[in-house]
Amino acid sequence: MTTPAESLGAALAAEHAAVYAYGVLGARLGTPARAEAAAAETAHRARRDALLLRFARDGATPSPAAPAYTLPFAVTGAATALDLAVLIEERTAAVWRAAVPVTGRPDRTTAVAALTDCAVRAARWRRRAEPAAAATVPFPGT
Amino acid sequence: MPSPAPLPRRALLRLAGRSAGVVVLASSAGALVSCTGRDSAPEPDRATEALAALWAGERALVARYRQTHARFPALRPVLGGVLADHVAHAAALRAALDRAPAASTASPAPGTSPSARPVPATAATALADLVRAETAAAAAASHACLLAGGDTAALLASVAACEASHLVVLR
Repeated sequence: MTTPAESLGAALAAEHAAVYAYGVLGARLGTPARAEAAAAETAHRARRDALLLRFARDGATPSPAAPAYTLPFAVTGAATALDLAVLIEERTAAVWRAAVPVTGRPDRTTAVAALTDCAVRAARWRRRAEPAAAATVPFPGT
Repeated sequence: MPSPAPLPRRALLRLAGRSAGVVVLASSAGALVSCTGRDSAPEPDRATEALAALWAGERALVARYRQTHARFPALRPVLGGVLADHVAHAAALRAALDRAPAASTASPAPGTSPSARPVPATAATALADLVRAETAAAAAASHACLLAGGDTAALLASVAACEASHLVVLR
């Protein structure tokens, strides 16, 4: 069974990757989507930093960020940038959801808040990508 | 037909009377959940009661969205996906309730629990009413998540996250 430290380590890795991905995709978006991407990057950076502090308090040394990440597809314009933003939020949501059953307070509270933030951002990006399609999913993180 | 909400409500109020530091939250559907302010292991009895209250709340939300659809057909394209999410939530919560240990005071009641309040007079106020309902439901689910164990906790976290994301659609 996954330990709390392992689940939070996975969340940290996902937040590192999200920060990297937003740096790439934000440049492909026009305003105001670019500003929204910058806000999302800031939010992921804050989650990352909070996790780093959490590990430091426990005297643990989590894995550092990779110097670069392989993106799941090439970001060639606004459409693929939006697709990547949705995917990043869905993947990060999944990692935080996985932390919920194996953590207690206060980590579980953080995991639920982070999952919620990812779900809200994913809905915003889906709406931008395809306004006529459903913006929400019933069980974010699954 | 009796509403499913009173049993959990009475049970939780009884718990509130004997537990120090208990916070009781009301959802728009009248469902109540509670959580303590300390780190604790899953509490099966209270978790089941909270699950029953959330299930009742989801059914009330489904009824509320259907009433709003009927009153304002033009909102259907906006609200259709949200209603589908709540239908899925109600089914998943019912399934989780069937798997949960029986609580001493809570049991699911059959049937639906339509909202007692009339739908607001304008589409704008109806949407604002749904925003309030979603906000309260998300808060209730996230607090109930802290009481639950394992897969149910993950389910409740997803329900809370989904309901928060509904505000993107409703605003």
